[in-house]
Amino acid sequence: MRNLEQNLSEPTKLDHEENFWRKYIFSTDHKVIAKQFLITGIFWAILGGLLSLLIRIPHGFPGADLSWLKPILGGWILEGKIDAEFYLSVVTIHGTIMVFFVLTAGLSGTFANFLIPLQIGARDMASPFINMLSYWMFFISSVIMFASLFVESGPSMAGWTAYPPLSATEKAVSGSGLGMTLWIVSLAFFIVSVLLGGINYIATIINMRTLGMTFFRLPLTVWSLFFTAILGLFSFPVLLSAMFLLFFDREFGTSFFLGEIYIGGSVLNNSGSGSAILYQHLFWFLGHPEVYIVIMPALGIASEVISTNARKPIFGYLMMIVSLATICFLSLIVWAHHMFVSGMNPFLGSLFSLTSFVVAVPSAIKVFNYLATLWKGNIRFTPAMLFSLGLVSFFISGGLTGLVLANNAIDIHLHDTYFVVAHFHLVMGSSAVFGFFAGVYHWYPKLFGKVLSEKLGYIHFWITFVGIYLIFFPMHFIGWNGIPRRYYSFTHIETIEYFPDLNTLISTFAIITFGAQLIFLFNFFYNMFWGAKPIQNPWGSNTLEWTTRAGMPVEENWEGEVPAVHRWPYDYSKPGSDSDFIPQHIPLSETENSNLDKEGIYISLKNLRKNNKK
Amino acid sequence: MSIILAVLLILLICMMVVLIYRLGVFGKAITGWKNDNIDSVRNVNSWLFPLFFVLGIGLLIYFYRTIKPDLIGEAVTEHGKWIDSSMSLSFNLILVIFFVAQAVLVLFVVVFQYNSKRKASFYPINNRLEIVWTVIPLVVFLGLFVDGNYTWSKVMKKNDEDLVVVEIIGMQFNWIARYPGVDNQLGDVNVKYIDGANTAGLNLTDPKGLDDFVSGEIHIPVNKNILFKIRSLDVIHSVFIPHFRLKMDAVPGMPTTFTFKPEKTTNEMKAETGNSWFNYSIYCAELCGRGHFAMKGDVVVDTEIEYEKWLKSQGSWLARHKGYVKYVPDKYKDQAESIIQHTPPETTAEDATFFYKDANVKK
Repeated sequence: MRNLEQNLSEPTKLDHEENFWRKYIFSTDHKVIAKQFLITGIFWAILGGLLSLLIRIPHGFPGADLSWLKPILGGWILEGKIDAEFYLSVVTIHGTIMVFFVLTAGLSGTFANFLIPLQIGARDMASPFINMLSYWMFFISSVIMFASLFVESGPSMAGWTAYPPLSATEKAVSGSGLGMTLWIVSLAFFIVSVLLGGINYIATIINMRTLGMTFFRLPLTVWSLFFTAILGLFSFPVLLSAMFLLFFDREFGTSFFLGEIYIGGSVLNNSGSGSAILYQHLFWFLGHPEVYIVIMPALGIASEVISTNARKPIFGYLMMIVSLATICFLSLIVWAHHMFVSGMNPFLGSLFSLTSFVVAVPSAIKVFNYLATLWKGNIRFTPAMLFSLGLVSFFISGGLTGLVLANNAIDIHLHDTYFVVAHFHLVMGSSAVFGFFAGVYHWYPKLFGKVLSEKLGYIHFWITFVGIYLIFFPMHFIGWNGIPRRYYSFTHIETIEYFPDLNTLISTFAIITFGAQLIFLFNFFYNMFWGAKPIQNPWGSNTLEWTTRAGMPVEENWEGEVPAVHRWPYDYSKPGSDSDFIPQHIPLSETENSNLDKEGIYISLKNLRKNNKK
Repeated sequence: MSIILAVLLILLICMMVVLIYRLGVFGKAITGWKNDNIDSVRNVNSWLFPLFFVLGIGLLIYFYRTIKPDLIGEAVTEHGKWIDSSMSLSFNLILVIFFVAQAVLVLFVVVFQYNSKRKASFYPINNRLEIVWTVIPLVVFLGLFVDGNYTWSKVMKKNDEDLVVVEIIGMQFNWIARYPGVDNQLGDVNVKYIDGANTAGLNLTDPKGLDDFVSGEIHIPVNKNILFKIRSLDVIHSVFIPHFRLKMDAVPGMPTTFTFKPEKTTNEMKAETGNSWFNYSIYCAELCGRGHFAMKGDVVVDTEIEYEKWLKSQGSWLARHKGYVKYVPDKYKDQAESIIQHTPPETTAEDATFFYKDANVKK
């Protein structure tokens, strides 16, 4: 464990050469670990994206001949069609990969590791070793999940929620054999990884802040990652317990989740008096906070990027923190809105509907604050800014349909239909992915010491932005009509309309949007090697990471002393200052013309006006 | 639809061409960094937002008008109409908020685009505004909650009077129904009694179950309060009848219920939609395995007369499977015999074949 003194003293490791393995593979440097998370995340995102195309093809092009996929999928292609059971695997693995491996590890893992030490002015994490362990636990989890794709009986087929009894016995579906076992083991390792990461992030933020970096001078990215880590610590252990109990039910003949069950021609050996609903409670106790674990870092990144590129302080800094804290607390008590029609007591339905509506308030506050930040700004449309604006747009669209689904009465009809698919893909899927892109475009100069092409970034953004709207907006209509999720084919749906034309449109744009990601991948990997070198602070940003040398920071981040902090991170376009930004490490004594009566977060409107009049 | 698709593609390509043209030579685009007019290049993006917004709204209206005739109509149950009215309140409200919020976003993006001569306003806080947009959403959302929850409690209210009880049983991958028979009481069931013929798991030692009958097609009378007692034999399923706005999970080991009142018979709907093969269907809404997508059950809403007639034509399960009489305890044997004697002869094989309608789903 490092302490603050060590942190503030001169870097210790500068001249110290390390071999390849210590430097790039089993590195304890938070920046290398962040890149490991990033690259692994991108790998999973490509796979998850490809799987989403497999999900869409049978709906968009029902007659399509897929025999050409035989070399990859082998026996899972039957007579030119995807096998109905394998289709469920595709849905399951797409969900699992995207939620856990891409948007939790890839997004939060990358930016928490990268930004926390750099933005609070620390030389590394509180425990670099535990940090390394966190990545390697994730790596083991990834390997196991990847291995499960090649199991003969198929990967898990029970949906990313893995409700027992479907997930509890091989008799229910073939993917609930070895595939499911590997899925559970993989998730267990994943949870360990998240917990190791989480305690480290929290310890670092609390203990390692540089001189002058009070809590209320932390950038909103750090705040959001802080609350994300706390939320993870509360909720992930519950999922771990659910995974253990499910494992016991499967392997050791217990019946925690198994009621009286007759399946595959006989009564299940360990059918007993367990409760399938109990699993749902345990799962969603993580499952709902999980969507906030996914979206909060993205919102934090958006706060930082929007403020920087609007050349304006983030509006309502304190309120942004309060709303994050409120989300963090409330998201722990809304889980059963996924279970309105699961057969639980209707009174609970009322209660959880109420909390679900209330949790929408802090989200609304955040949106209004973003809009107010743009008001009278001087907006630069860098790719990162475009993706952040896209995030806000998606967050509005998807958030509003959340108000429909939080309504327990309406949810009776819309639950488990395409309406839900549209809702969560917009509000947490696409928003979080856009947060991820915004982060990569914004911090690429620090991550890889090179610059991404802005122009390719624009093309990438516009195709993706338009594509995502055309994919998910029509799904609302399909869901409104009552077409259920996770259907392999709509051939059995007769007297309600499932809009084959809209489905073709959706699938077409899914393919186009996936294609646009290749532009990003080219941009990302090409510029990693042959990109131009950035200047020290290319976006004119205030936070501490831009005080490190131009390009990639050295191993312990700052060559000399870690700079001390004298102000909050959002002094953009301050009246009286020549420059339109004043970085955090500039002392107030150097900016006497622009200082306010009362510096700090307690700047009130009255003070501002008084100052302007002077 | 294909025309609209083509138009969209062309527009998208045009947008890209304009962008690439404005960006200069593509080759430079790969690594290019700062150039002198980077901000004017960046500002091109700001104009694409209103363009997309206007096109998007146009497209949305076009979509809506085109598909409107195919949208699911008004609910045909009493509670479904309550849900529909809550739904239209919510949807109208969120549509307004959606347009206003997105329009504001687009407007700000255009109006406040970068200009090197201008300086952004330093405006970090306004407590009054924060209070306004905390309290207003809170009040609006709580209003929606009160409306929704009022509907929810009406829908979920247990209504004991004059109920027609039907047990809906989900299994991989079909739905069957069990009716209480003449005594109007469902007998005991247990998974341990299930076999090839006794799919519902009737416990024949319970006298209440001797007259129960099992049907693949679900008939219910119109304008009566129906109680669905829902259970599952194997994994979790979910009874979903879109036209009824009815959904309730079928959980193994934990029976659930749903009370509702259908207001339109199947024949009325056939006439109304002009669709002679219209029927109400139960779709499975909870992932349940290979045949999830094909797990469908037919629900027929009859007039009261038709329903009574149908009821009479159904014989008790025991009468249809006389070999099982040996499991009935001696003290109830007489009762069983009398039930069998009063059972009408089997009419058609049509109902029985329902089970195997989805047999093409490979297991």
